[in-house]
Amino acid sequence: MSNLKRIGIVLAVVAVVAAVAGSFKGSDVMDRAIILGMGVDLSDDGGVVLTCEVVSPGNGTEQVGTFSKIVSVVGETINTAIQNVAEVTGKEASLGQSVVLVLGQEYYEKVDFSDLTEYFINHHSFKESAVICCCEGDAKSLFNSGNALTQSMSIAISTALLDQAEKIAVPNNSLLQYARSQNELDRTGFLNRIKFVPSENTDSSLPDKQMGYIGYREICIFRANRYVTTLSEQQVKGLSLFLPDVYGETFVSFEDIVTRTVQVTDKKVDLKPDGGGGFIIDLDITVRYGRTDSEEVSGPITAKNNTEIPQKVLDDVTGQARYVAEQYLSAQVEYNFDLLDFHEMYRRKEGSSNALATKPMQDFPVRLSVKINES
Amino acid sequence: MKDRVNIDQLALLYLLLIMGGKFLTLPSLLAGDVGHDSWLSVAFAFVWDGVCLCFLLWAIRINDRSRLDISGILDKSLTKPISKLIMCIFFVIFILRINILLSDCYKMFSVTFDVSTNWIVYILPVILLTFFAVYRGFNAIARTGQLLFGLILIAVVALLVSPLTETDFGELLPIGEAGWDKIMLASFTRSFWFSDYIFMYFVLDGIQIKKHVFSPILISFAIGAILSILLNAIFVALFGYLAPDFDMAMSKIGVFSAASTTNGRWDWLTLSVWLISVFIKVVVFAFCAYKCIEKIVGGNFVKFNWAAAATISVTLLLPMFVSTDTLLDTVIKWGVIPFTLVQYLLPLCMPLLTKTAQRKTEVQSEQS
Repeated sequence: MSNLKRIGIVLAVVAVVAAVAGSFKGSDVMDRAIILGMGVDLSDDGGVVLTCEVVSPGNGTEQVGTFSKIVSVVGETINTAIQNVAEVTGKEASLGQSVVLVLGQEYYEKVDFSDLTEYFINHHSFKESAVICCCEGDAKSLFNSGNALTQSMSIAISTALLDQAEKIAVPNNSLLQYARSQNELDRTGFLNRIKFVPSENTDSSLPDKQMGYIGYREICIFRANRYVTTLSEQQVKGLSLFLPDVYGETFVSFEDIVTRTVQVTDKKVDLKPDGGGGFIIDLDITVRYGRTDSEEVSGPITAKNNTEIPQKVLDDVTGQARYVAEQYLSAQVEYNFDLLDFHEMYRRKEGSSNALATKPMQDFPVRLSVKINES
Repeated sequence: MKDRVNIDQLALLYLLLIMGGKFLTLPSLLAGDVGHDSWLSVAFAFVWDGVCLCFLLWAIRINDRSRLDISGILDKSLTKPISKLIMCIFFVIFILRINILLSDCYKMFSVTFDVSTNWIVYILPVILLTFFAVYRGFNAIARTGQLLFGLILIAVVALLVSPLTETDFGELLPIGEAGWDKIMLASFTRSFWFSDYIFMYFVLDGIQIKKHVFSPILISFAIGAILSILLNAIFVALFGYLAPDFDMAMSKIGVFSAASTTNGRWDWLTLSVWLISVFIKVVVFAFCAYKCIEKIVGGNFVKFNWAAAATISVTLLLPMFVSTDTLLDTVIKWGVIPFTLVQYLLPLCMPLLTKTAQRKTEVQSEQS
């Protein structure tokens, strides 16, 4: 090959590469309003108020990193509201990094938000594993309370519900699990209900600064994306006893004149059909005195301790556990929702059918046995 | 000979090809057909593939003595017109599969990586890469596959780990709820996505057999089948009623974990690495399409044939005029029957055809 030919090929390749590279329209990170979390409220005209926590990478004097700002926009639908974010921020809204979606109280209590769930579940960027929850009051106020926290509000909510909730006996949910629960079988599911809890300001250098934390011990029940009820703390505690991956329930008992706190460190939940249309639930719960400041090693293959919890305390805890479990089960029948997958268990045996999907919870009688062991 | 390939390279390349195409639109299509039983359809399709692959490997072993190429075998055993007809069917399969793969990747770039461009600019580098590989010969493609194999396999495993921990495989019960006839039918109607071994027809004369023929390729096949079935099972178990709507399975599964948002987006990195296997598949199929043209026109392209390359390049403009859905509902839906001839019937006959061709070649050489 002559030198001239080689030079020609190199020039042709350079020209093609330049043309191709120049034709790809990528979104520069500088041009994007990266949304970490969103809150949805009902607007006065029946549309939505969308509050976003936005990280807007920039240069010069703009803040970067985890510093974020709260932006609120109004839209006829969630789609138009997200488009309006671009108008307010001057940048294209990007949902790929969103970790949380919060529904305001008025919104979730009054509206059938199936379209909102469908929008986010089918969104190409928004992750199905993101946290979805509802909140006390409006979501806008919640996000604007972020200054009281030492970190981003969205990250704080996500960390609380994804990482911490299961360790303090609060079940959690992702968008995917929630969306499926509202469209499959009995179409009931739950969302964690969070709230901003103000706390005393002990920082003398910033006396006017609001302080607080995120509370997340409540749960709301939904059927086909419509609000049904809110479970009490006792009922949530009862629900968590039935969930094998949720730990940390605490029970307080009195041993003579001493108050003792025991904590659930392991459990076996044997939930099976009884053959007559109902269920047998055997709860085998392992507890120990709550004395550590970190999550304790638990499970069936851990070393055993010498017995130190008196039988009287164990009996007392058994009674308490049975009480909260029954509280939950009666709520399940009263409001006709199914978080323990009774319908799903029958589906796995018999397949899907309309008769199964519409079967009320009172048609699933439950025989409950609770056993408390010391680890 | 620049198209030579040894059995180990062939095995690794085959595994890359299995992983390269079945993790895009296929899982959602199957979920639409048979719901949570889609993994069974995949398993059945792999059973047929496994049987046919064994026959094809048998033919490869027989062919080691004479090293005939595919058209040499078909010309001598089935006559030239039938041979050319088969090559035409192969050409259509390869072109359609390349187009479907490229369309899926185009969509993935657009929605997952947020990079968009027009179709011509998108396929231009792919065409350049493809024909550079064709020019260098199959050996270069096989060695590239060998080089990148480890990385791609790690990426695939990494992509599956996070959703695997979230998956409740009890969702797949009851097994066979959709009906075994529907499950079998789905594995047939979606067979277009299977039988990746068909590329081996076009390197028959270049395969160098040292000792084992069956074991390396069957091990690759088994790993590929397990990963594909597992991915399908995870996909339908995880997404339930939503699975038919999520047309980019690997994109949905790969960037599933919300934790990666706070821990760093390694999921995009692994997804990008896995995408290399799709492009290797495109290159291999383009090589096969190029060989098809060679066999159809009856020549032997000693030098790079620009006309053949141009023909293939033009066919890659198809998605500009016909959507993927239209292709699936028309050409591919009705093409399944002729495609089955070369995907399933031909490999079953290959040992016999190879022996016949060998015998005829020997008779001819004796006569001459």
